[in-house]
Amino acid sequence: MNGNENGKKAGASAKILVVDDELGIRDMLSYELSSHDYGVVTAVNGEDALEKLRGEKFQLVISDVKMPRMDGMEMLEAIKKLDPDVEVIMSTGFGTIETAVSAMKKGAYDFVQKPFNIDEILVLIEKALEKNELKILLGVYETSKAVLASLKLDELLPIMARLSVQILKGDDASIMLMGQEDCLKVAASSGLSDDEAERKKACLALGERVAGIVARDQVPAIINGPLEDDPRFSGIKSLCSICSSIVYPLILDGKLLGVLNVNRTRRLEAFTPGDLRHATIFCSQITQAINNAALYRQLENKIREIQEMQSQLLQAEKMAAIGQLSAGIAHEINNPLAGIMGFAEIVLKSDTLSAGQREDIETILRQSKRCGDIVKNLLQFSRRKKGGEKLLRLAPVLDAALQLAGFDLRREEVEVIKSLPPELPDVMGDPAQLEQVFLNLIMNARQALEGKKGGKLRILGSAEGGRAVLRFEDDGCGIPAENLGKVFDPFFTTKEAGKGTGLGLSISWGIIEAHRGTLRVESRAGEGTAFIISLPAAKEASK
Amino acid sequence: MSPYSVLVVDDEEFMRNICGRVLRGMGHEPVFAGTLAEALEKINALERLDLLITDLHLPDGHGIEAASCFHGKFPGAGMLVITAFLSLDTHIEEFQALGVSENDMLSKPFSVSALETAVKAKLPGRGGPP
Repeated sequence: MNGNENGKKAGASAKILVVDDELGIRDMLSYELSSHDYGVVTAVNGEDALEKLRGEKFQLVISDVKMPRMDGMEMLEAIKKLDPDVEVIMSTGFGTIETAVSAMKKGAYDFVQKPFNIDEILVLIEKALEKNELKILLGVYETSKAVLASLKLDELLPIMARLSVQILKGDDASIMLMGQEDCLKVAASSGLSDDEAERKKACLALGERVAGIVARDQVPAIINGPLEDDPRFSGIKSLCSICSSIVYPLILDGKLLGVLNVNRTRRLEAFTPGDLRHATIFCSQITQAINNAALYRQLENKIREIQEMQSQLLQAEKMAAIGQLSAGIAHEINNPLAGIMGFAEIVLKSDTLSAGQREDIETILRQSKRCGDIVKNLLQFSRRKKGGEKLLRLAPVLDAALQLAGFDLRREEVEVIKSLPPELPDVMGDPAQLEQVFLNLIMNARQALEGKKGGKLRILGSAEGGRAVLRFEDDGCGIPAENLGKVFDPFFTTKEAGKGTGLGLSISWGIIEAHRGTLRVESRAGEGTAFIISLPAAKEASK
Repeated sequence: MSPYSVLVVDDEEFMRNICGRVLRGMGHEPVFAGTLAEALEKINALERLDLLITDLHLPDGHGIEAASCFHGKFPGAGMLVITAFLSLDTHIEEFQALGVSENDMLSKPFSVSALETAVKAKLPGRGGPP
């Protein structure tokens, strides 16, 4: 942006303060500069100039060096202290190199000799104003660099708010973002300290209301003086002494993302159209930053989703392979097992067995039955039966499982904290199978809490984007990281031999999968474990 | 009074042996087939059969074919299915059409008493047909 936006030169409509004790010079410069579209104010001496500078914002001062009462050099120092951004051109009728150098050292932009060549002065003024403009643009550029280095909105917006105060020379600023239900919410603010909480609240409330109107119309606004006096915002009472405000909608591709609000409360000078132009540049940076952050967040979510899907897919493939294998093995084992058991039973019917022989054969029968149970579990896991098409509420199914586990839970003094919100969706499924899964997870939690009197099992339900989610969380011994990837594998168990088949979680996984859901685990050794079931809500499932 | 005759179809010799002993112990007369072809031959050749006990997976075909043929010739006779899997699997609807439900299914390994109970349910009374 080079300031030519409206076909005017840089700093057009800029305000220039002419300081000279000679009326002739003041009149001449006033006339010449006004005819070139500059706003001109004159002052007769240094003190007069400083007073005028305090009252309003100037972009440029043209001042004589030699003046009565306050010397031009002294005034230059005072001006730079008052407003470091204002450019100063010094002039004198009998300049020496020394005075020129000393003026430049004190921060003057340039030095001109009287009598003025007006064309030379106009070129100089334009250059000075361009520099002034450039300085602000440089500020915006620097901030945009800082801003684009971070993609986290909660870090970024406070920086943005602080920079808007700095760049636009406000006293406070807030950035409001469009939240859900199309409602503006303050996301960050600057210049409003916490001990000004009341004022802060008032300013933000005001900002929100004005912002609401700006947001609706999607047109930036400068509001000077009491809000009540502005016909655009009639009916809104100002709650604090705001002298001047810029309220700027943050729009990207026609979509309103939020609003920037910068206020002057202590500074008395009003915001100018030039300030609004700077706000335009700065707001485009904020908009871009918000958009980048949103895109980045979307990307992050997508990546997480893909990673989760990938791990689910890997698990599904692994389970399918294991399932196929185990189904084959189960079939091959069941046949000979039927023979062993059948003949053992037939032998047991004989009258000629000794007590010892009978006992031995009964052992054969018992152990064969145990084999049969293992194989049956394997088959249950591998059999990809559909989840069932019954519409069911999860709460009673969970209650039934808790009741079955009740005795064990009480014996181990496990505290069960159950929280199923009413908005937990119903699912389509087989209540018996789901109860089996819940019971399995509850019993696993109980085992993780073994020996820890007063352990807690939390069962938390939630509705998450068209899915019913149940989280079974214990504060037990946890699962070491190296085992976390294996817990759903058939026959993986850390229990001592004979205490578990290592099929419980595999079967649960298979059942949830058949219900078109997911079962995953989160755990940290020593801290606890959470199993998370996510099932499609009934409406989704019945499609 | 002649005993009930029962066709046992299983490719495992020992399964036929066990079923045969159990059936004889109950006073019935077993007939055996080790393949689907043999089963179909027996069904076609014999004038009377009162019960079919068939495995699902046969070397030359599926038990459903034996059941279907059996039901065609002896529509009033009962049928029992032996399987090493847990269900009637992919043929559940075809079996249901023949009047065979999951209740008429014995999952291997099954106990002798379970077989006896199932047979008793299909062939009431100790003796043969009236």
